[in-house]
Amino acid sequence: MSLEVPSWSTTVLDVMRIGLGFVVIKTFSVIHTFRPSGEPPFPVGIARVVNLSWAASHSTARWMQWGAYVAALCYAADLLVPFALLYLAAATILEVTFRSSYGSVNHGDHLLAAVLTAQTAGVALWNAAVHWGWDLGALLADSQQTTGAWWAVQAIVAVYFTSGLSKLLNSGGHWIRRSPALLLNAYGRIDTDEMMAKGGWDSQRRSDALITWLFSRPTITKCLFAVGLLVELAAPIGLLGELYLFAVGLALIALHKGNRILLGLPFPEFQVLVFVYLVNVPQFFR
Amino acid sequence: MSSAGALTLVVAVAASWGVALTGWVASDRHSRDRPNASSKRWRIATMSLVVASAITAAIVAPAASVFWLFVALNFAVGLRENVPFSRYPMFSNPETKAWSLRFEDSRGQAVKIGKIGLAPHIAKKRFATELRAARERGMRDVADARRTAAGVMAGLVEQHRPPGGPLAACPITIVMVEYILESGQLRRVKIPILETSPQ
Repeated sequence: MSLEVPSWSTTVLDVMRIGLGFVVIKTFSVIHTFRPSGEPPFPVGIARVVNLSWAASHSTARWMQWGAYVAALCYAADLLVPFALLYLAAATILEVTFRSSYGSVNHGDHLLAAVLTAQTAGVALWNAAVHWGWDLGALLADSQQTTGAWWAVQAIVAVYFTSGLSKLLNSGGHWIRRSPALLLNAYGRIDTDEMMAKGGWDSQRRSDALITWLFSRPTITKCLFAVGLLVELAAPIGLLGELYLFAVGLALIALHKGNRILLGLPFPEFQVLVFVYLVNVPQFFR
Repeated sequence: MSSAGALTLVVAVAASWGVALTGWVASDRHSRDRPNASSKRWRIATMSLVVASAITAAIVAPAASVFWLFVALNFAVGLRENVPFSRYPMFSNPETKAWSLRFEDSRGQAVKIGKIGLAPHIAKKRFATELRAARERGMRDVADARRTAAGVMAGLVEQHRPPGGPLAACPITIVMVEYILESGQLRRVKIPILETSPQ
């Protein structure tokens, strides 16, 4: 058993770049929706040291958005990749920090921020190593693109493993035993979803019926949530090889689908990133 | 070295699975709704152990060092939500009580706040943060803290209220809905906190 950087072909790496570019464009296309305004009352991250209230302006958001579109297209087209990544990582961290500084931390875009940060760091280190002739061994792959993608894969896996470990730490190891109580949040979600602009009543009624059914069957509920937690905790196994990565990716997407049905949490960007980097379908068409 | 990397991953997964499955069958003696000082100390100690182990693994297994470094940073730097690092704590401690925040009109129907630029899940999190901030300022009375937090939410509603249409003039009540698990049964309690009308 060993751990090696996957030997992705140029086509596979191209598809990964286009996929990440797509996620960036999709994320930045909705930055005007529910945009907070005024002084951030509960700053997080860099907002604790830098006043980010200027990011509330719609013209600033528009400039940041167009900048992200251009950078994403450059990145997808393999042009000025280190600079495009640097801009995208900075803009994403800034945007997510700004939105999270109004008393509502939403983790929906954290995975994208983690992927971009990891890629930027990987690409920068690879270029520095080539420029100054450093030998960093297994830390870097043989090309800038492979290094960026491999670091992104490791960041994604780390996010899921962290999420699983947090559940164990915060519940004193009893997360599965306590998991049926999560259905209470599901009821809350159904109540609040009524207040969104769009209806979706049919799917709400279906969720309601399923949650009520599960509520009276705690053992089945525990088994369902146990599978979810064990999948999160097993994510690092994906780093052992491309087939493992494929299996872990499919399991994580299934986990998100389950969370959508039970807890109303879709996290679509997470699913697309997992599909692009972990499932990575083009690797099977060599 | 690459087999050392694989070993660190297998050991981490096996250990975490072991804890998760043991916790499933072992008795749950601690009070889950009121964490005490010793459980907080235990949590900090365990978290420090995770960070130290992850840093060690990053050093001994360079092939997986980015993964281990991210895990360490998520627990060390992400403790206070420093994007892109986070511990991803949502739903990490299921409790026997949950709640949601509703905005209702005078007939008790849900107001579609999504139409005026307020997202329900963001409103709930903001309310929770305001509630926590009120408690940290020393507000001991739960009802007072809720009214203070709802006051901020009322301000946001008025800021987003459209000048015309059905939502322009209708009073909106901020209601907290509690979901309580008692002997395997669900109890739903509605607590109206504050009513807001256009000035």
